Amino acid sequence: MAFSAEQLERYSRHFVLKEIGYAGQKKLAAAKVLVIGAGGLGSPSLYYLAAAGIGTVGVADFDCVELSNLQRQIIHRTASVGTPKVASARDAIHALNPDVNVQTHDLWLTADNIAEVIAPYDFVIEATDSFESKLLVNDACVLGKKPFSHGGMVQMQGQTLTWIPGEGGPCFRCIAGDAPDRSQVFTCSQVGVLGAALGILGSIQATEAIKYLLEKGDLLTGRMLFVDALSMTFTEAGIPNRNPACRVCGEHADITDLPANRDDYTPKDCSI
Amino acid sequence: MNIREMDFIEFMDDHYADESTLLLDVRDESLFQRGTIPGAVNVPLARIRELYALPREKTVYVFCQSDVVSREVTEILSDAGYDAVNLQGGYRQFLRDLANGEFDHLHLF
Repeated sequence: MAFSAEQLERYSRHFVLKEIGYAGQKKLAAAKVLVIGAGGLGSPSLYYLAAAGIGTVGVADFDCVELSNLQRQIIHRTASVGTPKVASARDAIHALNPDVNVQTHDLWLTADNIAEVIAPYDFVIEATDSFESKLLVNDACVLGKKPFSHGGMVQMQGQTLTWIPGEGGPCFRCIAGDAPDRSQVFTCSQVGVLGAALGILGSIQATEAIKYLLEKGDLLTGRMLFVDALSMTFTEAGIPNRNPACRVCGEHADITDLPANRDDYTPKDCSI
Repeated sequence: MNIREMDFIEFMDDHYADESTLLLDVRDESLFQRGTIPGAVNVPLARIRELYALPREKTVYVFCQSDVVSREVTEILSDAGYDAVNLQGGYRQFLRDLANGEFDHLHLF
């Protein structure tokens, strides 16, 4: 039997949901999803992946919990301030669903280690806080043929898209290009961000991961979803095809080896 | 997973009265109380854990209001090693067949 009596009760609302059912729940139990960034976007994702019964949830974050995180990073708590985020996240996940196998990656992801970290996973949720990190994850997933969800938010506005290998759709780099000069970028510590708005976007990312695993519904591939929580409007930009000039997935891609391009992903000091 | 299925006519004629048959109604308790097939036991989703407490030596015939939930339960039971069969069309189909006189010879009511 795939599930214990207790798990039958835990997932009973999935068994009767026609998009999931018993067969779908078994798929989720066999799946491995990595969340890169246990912060504002990562928190709701981690919770909902755990609640849904994803078999293995990976969490990658090098940082420790700070008090100012708790305004939005709901996977952590006051008692975990000062401790590594991955451990704090693991504890929260297990309190919600002890059946989840949590793999912690307490490290700074770089061009040299990211390929190995993402390799075992079926889907990656990018929930980082800098353009450089977003491009690193993007490029690693494209080169590693790893399905992933890109997401980013500041203040009350954010965006997300999903990339699946082999579909010819745009990756994040197709749309964003190289990281802008840091003087042009506003970070959350500079301009702020609303926790609940991050909850909306992070939940969308977790939903995309779950839909991908179930092979149900329509993913945010070939379209970027923009969320403006202030006006509560959701708009889409349809971008059906990859950008032929994209440096990692375009026709003459020059990014073919991450370590060789490590300067493109220069780490930032300030985290949000 | 492919589950075993059967229509009510075959079930009622050939298996309903068997010693080894367990008839399982997985609808909510309120629906079960309102009316069910005589002899059925009720394990609603609210008590889904109790599925594994069902006797393993019986063949479990599962029905719900239509089909949807009973198919999932049949799959759960089959996966757990039970001999389980989904009754097609559910309680609604049973009532239709009953009204059509299909079970008159069984003198159920």
